[in-house]
Amino acid sequence: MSMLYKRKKALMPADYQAIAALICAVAVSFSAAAAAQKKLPPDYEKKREAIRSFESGVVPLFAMGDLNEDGKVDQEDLKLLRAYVAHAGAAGISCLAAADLDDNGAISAKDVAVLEQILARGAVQAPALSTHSRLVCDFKNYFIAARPQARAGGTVPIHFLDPRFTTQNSSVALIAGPATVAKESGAYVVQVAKNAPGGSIITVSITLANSQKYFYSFSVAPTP
Amino acid sequence: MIGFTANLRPPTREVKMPASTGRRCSLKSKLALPFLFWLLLVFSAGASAQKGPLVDVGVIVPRDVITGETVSGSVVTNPNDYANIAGMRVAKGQLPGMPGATPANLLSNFSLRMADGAVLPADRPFRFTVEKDLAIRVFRTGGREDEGWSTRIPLLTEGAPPAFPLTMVFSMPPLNLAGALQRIHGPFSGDSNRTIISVNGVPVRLLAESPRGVYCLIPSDLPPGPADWTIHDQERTARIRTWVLALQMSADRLKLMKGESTAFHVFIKGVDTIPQEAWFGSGEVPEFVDPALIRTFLPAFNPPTPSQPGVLVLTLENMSTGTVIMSGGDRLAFTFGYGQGKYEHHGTITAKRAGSFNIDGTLIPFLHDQPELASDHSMTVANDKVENPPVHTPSPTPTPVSSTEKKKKEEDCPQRGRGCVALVIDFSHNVTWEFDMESLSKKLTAAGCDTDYVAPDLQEIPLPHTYGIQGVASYTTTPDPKDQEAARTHNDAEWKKIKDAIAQHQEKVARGVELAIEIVNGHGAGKGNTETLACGNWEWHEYTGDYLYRSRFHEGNYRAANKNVCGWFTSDFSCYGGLTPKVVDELNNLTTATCSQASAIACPNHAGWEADSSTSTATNTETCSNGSIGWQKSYIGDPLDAETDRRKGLPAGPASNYSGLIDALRSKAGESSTSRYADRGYAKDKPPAHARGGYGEESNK
Repeated sequence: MSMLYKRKKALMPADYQAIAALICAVAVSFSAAAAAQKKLPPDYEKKREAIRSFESGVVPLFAMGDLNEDGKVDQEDLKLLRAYVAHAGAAGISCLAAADLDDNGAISAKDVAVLEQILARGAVQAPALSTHSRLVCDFKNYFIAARPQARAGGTVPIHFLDPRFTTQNSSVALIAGPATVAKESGAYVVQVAKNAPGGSIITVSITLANSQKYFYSFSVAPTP
Repeated sequence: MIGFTANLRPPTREVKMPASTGRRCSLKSKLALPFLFWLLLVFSAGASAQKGPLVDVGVIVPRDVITGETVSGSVVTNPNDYANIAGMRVAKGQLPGMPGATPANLLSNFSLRMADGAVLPADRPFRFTVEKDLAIRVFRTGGREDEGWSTRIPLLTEGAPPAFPLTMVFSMPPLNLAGALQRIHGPFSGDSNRTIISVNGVPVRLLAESPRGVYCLIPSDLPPGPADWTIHDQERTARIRTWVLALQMSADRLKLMKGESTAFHVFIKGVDTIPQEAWFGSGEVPEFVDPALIRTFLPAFNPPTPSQPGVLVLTLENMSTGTVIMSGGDRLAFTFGYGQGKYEHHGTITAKRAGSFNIDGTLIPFLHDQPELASDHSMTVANDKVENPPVHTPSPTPTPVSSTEKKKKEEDCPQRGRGCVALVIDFSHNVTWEFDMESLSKKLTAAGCDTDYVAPDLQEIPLPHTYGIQGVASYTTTPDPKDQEAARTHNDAEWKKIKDAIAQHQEKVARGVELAIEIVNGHGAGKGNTETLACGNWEWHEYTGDYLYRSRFHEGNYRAANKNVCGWFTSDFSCYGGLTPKVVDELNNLTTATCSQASAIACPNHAGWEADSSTSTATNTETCSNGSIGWQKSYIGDPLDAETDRRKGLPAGPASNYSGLIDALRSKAGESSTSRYADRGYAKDKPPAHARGGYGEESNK
């Protein structure tokens, strides 16, 4: 399976100076818009069927740094990334989007450096979830879906795709940003403040029934 | 704002008001109101003009200005007339009089200079760029500048910059008075030297202009009746139809002794020329009318809403209560509606003592603004003449047929057999997890529709992001400006494809087609606070630097389709998509696109001959599910499949008509979709049967 489709543009590297912990490649979605031919994950139709009942715009999330989608961000992922950058192959990588740690649309030695820094403290305890990538992901173990962004006054629903997790046994809490979190029927809803500035970042923590914790950040979309 | 004074004449003679009297009367502050007809019955000697070495002048500029904008103002000889116009700033001064000059020609002897700019004639509008204030000097042409009058007008209000929303279409109040000041809203250049406005072919004098509207003077000899306005600015020409009214007052006797009485008469001229579709309210007090004035006469009066019949309110006030008594009281108010037959009042004045007396008459229209008519192009192609609302004009003389056939042909849609054109704008094409409209586009083509499918290849414009996680650290991305610029350049070309496709589609529709269809799929946003965002917008799933606005899109399509199609169908596959049937409802009945007006029934404004319908997968206040986009495609796809099958059974060549598909789409609109609007067209909606749902309005069927 080819996972190397890219969009036409390539972003320049981001500011690495402040990278230390987690990488929340925030904002926006993970689709493949500009690609002439869309590369879809395995069982795409089946997965899409699963999110049919969710609000329009809700898409599955992936964990940044979790290249093999085993639920952990650890040395195994770093090993896969190094091999990929060294052109040794993509075997074992099912979510290349998770490897674009500097959010520039390409995989390079800089991503390796970022992941090395992250893992210098050991395996990541609370990975960052994202929808935002110009690269592909198989979503082998997709378990959470959300909207990639919202305008001021809008909402970002957070749904559990894995039946083991529900709003009864899992929780979502606001960490930062102009928003509130409410539990509604079958989903948590992040309500963005009406006066939230465009471009501001909202971060929530998601704690599943198995005590695994994640962070999810998204941006407030500019208003015309 | 309109004011004039009339001397009483025998009732058989119509009062003619010279322009100068209008100016004199409007010195009374209550006259500074457009659309407000002020009449003063003067039974005393008229004021005589006082001659002196200095004459009053003033500079007027629009108040709705923003730093850096181009706006225009004028020098006037009647500044007090504008002192109470809320939308104007007025600076008063005096200039030396000229022997033999009248207020009408005085300024032709003067020049003006702004700051250190060029010398300009003082009797024409002057253009300037808005700064903190405007320094201007008016002086005699050829004379010394320091002998003239200079002033400095503050232009900006202290505090936060004001928000003056730009409007995209021209509009103006429906009623005018000859010789009065008139406000026209619209996307003007701000440069009155480039703006040309005429009414019934007569040029109109512009006084002040901003990018949001102009103030102009209506020719004083404009007769009561329809008034066709032509507005040309920024290489665009728009037309608006309004109506000129005249308020005529008279008394049988002009002199009364103590205890004597006389009949007086008030006639509102020109009302019978206002068509029914203009008789709807706006929900507001007219722009320059003081609400307190209304409350004085009618404490419980509420302006009729857009769904309620509009009214004209005539107020009469006895200004000489010490001298005369007016029958019915010293303050009277009368309400006139559509089809009333007589628009007049007759009463009695009784003298308590000999002397002069005044009676004020004010006519205040509570009708909605008139929008611009369809473009010249569409009208010349498909309509024989301009009407407001545009009305169906029968096709040219048909080939002689039997009386039965002739009757049948005349009753049919004039665009029958002229095919189907469709526009599909698909922001979700090639976007993972989103349902696109490519298959629906193919169904349209299979059903014989000339279909433009636009699937823009947009890119995200990278924006800086800062992520902070539980205080551990932060991560800031700083997108390269070159990448941002590259994305913008790329997207500009893609957005141009969309806009070009819209223009091309509207051009096709305006030429006349049997069925016009527009479908938009993408991410929808709800109502915003600006006029542009009144009905929300569509966008790609990430930031691309531009948006497609529902109100503007549907309004353009309505203008193209109005009376040029048998059926008009539009569908919105996006969140808050109920705003589309809502605005289509509003356009088809009120011809406006504000998404804030309550539904009304005005069938002559329907665009299609036999049907207009609109659907959406969402309500106007909610998002919709991913799946609804998928399954509600079938509400359109199924009728298209049926039409395709029907055509397969027909002989080669163009199929006869789309009446079956038009009906199926209208039915679907009224039954299935989350939000829907449907009517039976301007020819068939008798009695009106409007299907409504999903945007807070109920069906009428």
